[in-house]
Amino acid sequence: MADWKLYTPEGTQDVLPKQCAYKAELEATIASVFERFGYHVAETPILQFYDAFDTQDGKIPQEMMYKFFDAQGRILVLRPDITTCFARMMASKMDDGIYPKRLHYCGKVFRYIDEFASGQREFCQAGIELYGADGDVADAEVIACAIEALLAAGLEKFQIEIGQVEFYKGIIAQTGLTNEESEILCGFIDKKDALAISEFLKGKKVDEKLAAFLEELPTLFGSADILSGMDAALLGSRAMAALNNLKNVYDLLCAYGYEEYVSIDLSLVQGINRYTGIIFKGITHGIGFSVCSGGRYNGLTGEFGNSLSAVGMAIGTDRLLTVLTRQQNGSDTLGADFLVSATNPATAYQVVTALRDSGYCAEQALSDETGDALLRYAEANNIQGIITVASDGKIKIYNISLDETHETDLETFLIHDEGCNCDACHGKD
Amino acid sequence: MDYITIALAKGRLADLTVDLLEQAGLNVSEMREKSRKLIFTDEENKFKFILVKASDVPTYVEYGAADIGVVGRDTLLEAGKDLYEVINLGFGACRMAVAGPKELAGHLDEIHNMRVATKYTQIAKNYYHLVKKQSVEIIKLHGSVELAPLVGLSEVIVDIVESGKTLKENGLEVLEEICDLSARFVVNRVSMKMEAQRIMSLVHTIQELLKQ
Repeated sequence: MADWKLYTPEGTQDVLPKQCAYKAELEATIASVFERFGYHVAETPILQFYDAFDTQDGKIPQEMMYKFFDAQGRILVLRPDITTCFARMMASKMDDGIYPKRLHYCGKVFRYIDEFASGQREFCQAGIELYGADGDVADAEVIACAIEALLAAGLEKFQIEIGQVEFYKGIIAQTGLTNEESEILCGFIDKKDALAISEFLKGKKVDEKLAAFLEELPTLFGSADILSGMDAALLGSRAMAALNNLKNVYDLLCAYGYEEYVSIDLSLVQGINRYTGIIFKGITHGIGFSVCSGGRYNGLTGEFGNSLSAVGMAIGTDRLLTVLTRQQNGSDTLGADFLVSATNPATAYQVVTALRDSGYCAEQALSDETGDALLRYAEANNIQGIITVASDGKIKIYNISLDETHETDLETFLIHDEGCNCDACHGKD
Repeated sequence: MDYITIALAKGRLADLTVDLLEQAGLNVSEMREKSRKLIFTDEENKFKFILVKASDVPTYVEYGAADIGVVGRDTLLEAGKDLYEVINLGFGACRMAVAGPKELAGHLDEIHNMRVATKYTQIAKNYYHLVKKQSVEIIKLHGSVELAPLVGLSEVIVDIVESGKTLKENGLEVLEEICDLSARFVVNRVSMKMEAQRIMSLVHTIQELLKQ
């Protein structure tokens, strides 16, 4: 029988210390941006009832969810998405009539097949949700927050491409196509397959001008110029209202100073079922997938009994990490400041405690090794300095990168604090 | 300026594509030389060309290891990757079809638990699940698929049909058409936006060439 004890399941992975430190730092950076925008952190269980995801709006296909049963035979899932859990929480537990409400989160989600995670089935999302605020300014705030978070993470050269699902839905309403036909057409538009669009529309009784516009739709991406000169009579009021919202959000983001980070794609229709308005994706060089995505979903909280307007976005932190390491070749994380070795463990502990109290990171050497062996260990772990305490209380502080040794004794060493400027303490830096 | 990488499917398709790219103004001289190299550059226009197995083209493009790919639609459908399919290049035109002994013509819906032999399991699965809404047993083969109905391994096959000559010589005929296949110019979703100007200009040039 195959033995799997050395492996993690497909699509999951261990995160080793160096990578993990980088990841934790990234998540902290993103969370701090969210906090400064006034978003409050909240949590939801990784285990959820299947029913919560069996919604009308933006249904997640059941084959994408990890499912199992609890002791009472109810179907549980590993959450495939946090937005839905938060919508449930918001609608059922937080309604005090005072809006808007701003929440942020960072957590694992699980999906069997996932086009958003490049083969990963367990991945991390850091996101925000803004409830009870409709309109251009709320839409722009969420996108602005995404841009600030990506900038804070150190991402260079990226674009948030913005679309509006109501624009497409409005045009479809004008064509008189059935829902099923609209979905097929949506697939072609999503693939920017102009030929398939024109062939598909040939047999249908769609207004010629409208059909020509739909064929052109895949090329309508780029700067705000593409928004001008639209034929209002042809596209209908629903599509024009959507266009107006898109234009206002774009203008707001430009006014906020983010012009270089935003672009428009009118054929952005991926996953439009859940979304009811603005929709966007963050893309960058060096990775073929988007690093963040979001949009307005005014229908979702209503599924849980309290209809609220809502807009949100999530950053795929694993992906972002991949891009950052590629774009910046990764930064070496520093090891401990000091490695402390003493013949008497109690003395060593006294020294490390003194260092730790002064804010340093200090490791206590656990073996009896001295000299070269200690140095090799310190170098391999990026430790900055080695402190050895002899049995007579003499202390040697060795700064590895400068190759300098400073000598003192235990008593002097222990009375020194953060403000001290003597040579020994200087050596600590 | 960064390089734009184009993934080409090794074989006849690559030769046709190289001709087209040359007409579009790219310098493909490195690829014309006989060599075993897999990566070629056009320094002048900052393009790179990589030669990969046809079925790997969609993967290279999806992951962004290549920005653009040229590959048959059969390969694309089988791979089911998330790409922009921007141009139908027209060449390599053929069809994906269900074929079998001619006695079965018009009686396919009467067979229960039909066995379907094919190299293209994904295409066959999608066709029977989504279009025909029929449960069938799909048998994966790697070549000489026409043999399967002759030796009783399956009732029908799903395969690429060009002229229909191979089918005829083996006493089979096309029973149902699944879709047209021809080479596609596919683009990575992110590259399309990050390199919009250069990629769209190549797209327009090729579209103009194809019109002639």
